[in-house]
Amino acid sequence: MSTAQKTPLDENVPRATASARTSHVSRHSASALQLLKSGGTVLGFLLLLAAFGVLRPETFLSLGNMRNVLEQVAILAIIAAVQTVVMVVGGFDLSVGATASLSGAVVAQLMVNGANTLTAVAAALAVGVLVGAVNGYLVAYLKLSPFVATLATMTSVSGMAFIVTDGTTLYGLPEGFLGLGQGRWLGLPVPVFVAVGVALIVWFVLHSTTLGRRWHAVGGNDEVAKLSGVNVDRMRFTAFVVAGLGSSLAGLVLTSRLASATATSGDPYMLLAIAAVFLGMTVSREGVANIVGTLVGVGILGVLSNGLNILGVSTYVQQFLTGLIIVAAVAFSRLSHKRTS
Amino acid sequence: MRINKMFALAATALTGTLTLTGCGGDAAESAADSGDTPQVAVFTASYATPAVKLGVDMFEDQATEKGWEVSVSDSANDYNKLNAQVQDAISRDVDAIVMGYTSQEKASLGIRAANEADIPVFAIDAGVEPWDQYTLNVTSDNTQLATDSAQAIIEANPDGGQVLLIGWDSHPGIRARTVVAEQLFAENGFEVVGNHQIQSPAAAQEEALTYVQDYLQAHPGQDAPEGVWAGFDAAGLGATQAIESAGAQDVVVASMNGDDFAIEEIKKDGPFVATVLQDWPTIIGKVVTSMDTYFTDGSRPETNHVEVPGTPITRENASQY
Repeated sequence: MSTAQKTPLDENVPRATASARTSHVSRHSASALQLLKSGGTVLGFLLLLAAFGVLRPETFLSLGNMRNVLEQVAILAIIAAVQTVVMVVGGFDLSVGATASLSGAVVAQLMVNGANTLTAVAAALAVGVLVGAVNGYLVAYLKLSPFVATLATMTSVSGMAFIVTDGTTLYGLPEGFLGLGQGRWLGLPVPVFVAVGVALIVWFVLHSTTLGRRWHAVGGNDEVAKLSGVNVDRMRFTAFVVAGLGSSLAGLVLTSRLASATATSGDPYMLLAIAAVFLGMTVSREGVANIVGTLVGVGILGVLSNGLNILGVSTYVQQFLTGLIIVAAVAFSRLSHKRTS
Repeated sequence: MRINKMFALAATALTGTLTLTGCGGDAAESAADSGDTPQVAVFTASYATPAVKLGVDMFEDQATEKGWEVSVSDSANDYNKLNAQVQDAISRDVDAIVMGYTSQEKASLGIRAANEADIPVFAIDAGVEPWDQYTLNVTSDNTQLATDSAQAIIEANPDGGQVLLIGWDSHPGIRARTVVAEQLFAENGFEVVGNHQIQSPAAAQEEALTYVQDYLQAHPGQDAPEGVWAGFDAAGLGATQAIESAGAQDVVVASMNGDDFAIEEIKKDGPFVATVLQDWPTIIGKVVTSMDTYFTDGSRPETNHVEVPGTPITRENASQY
């Protein structure tokens, strides 16, 4: 009995060991879950690539197709990159698509009427900055909600695009300008280099500059940022200006790629850009907007569209699947975030 | 902060003034209704489309020349709004309603209400089949448009082959054209290897570009289709750009509407070989003449559905346009 009977201390040893094991396992599973959470979207992206690669290896994985995918997502990548900046400061911009349309309309109308290409491009970029400044002023200084402010701006900007184009398709643009959207450099489409350039600038500013850190601070907690001496209003204002500028640049690339401009050609990019940023937020451990994640989001949307086109899947099914994947990615991220916290 | 408050005040005042000005305009328009001048309310859901804008503007010009008072409303594809706008016009007791390029199914609520109020409803290209609720609908002959454009691809490839279709199912006219083209291709030894429906007409050109680009990537060289048939010119232009970008040989494109950018593309002797110009002057002219007769003696046309053929534009005659 004496040998067989366990003392409370003896009993505690295996309990402690089990507890340690449980804790070890739970730490492992928590870190695995964390890894899955932060890497799940990237994993999903890789799975998409693998699935289409297996289904159509000779086509999907060819260099030519990869080049096509990059070309097709370049404009979305530019708009999504600047949308990321706005979402880092805790807002969002519904007017990015309309701004791209308006800038494209302005550059085309000016060139069709004989303006110098550089002058037309500068004017279109200035229009983007102006729209961004109006958004920034409304949100940062007049304290309008980003939804209301940018929805209103989107409506007005869209109307301005109709006024500029007079509702028609503008075409007959100079060859020099078409190089921006249709040209090749080192075998790759020029829009890809523009998108990479914009993404690198956004990444650098967000990660390595005071401006980027202040944007993050404002997005994290604007009260704390304010108490730390950050000019919150100015930070919000600049983020919207960046979004306006980037959107107008995307509008220029789009107009050049299509060799024409209409009042609505850039509009569909607004929702896609927000979807890309949301997908990208699931890549971040903190669930915040980040440029690397956004590019993964852009990649998912682009690969999905390209792959399903190659498979000959109906447009309607494509649309359904795209929505489904966005919901699945964001919901998974939310669920795993709840569990880990 | 004070400046911001002042700015906000000024913005509010400006918005208020603009709103009141807008309301004032409506009031003034109603006041101008003397009873002798016909009041015509035009409704469209897609003024942003080049062909629609062309037709609606053409109608407005001709109607204004006749001395009618014309108001044009665009609902931007919002048919709930369009029906409400029509009901507002009925309340204003307009003398006639014109539906421009609208869907008869989606606009039926407003149109039926107009008929109940004994207001005639004239229509420009607003339905592919006869409908008793219209006093007159003059439309393009969608069967002829589709036949002539598909024929351009068939003639370029008398031995048949493969063809891609790009349509827009939400548009009744384009849906009807797609059905006709599909049947014609099947009868002439063509296999329809893809039938893409445009999701966003606002970005039809880019969507068609991307779709054809992806298709040609998956089917390069000898596997490429012989032709791409598009239900309207913007999609045809996108397909043309994809073919040129891919460097695909002997793939021809045909579409319809006769938009000026499509005609310019045909003149280049590239892949874009044909479009069919919709005869808007004749279509609009018939509607205006019929309305004029109604305003003069109150008589309505005997036939309420008229189809007008289009004019094929190919490399041979493109320079004339």
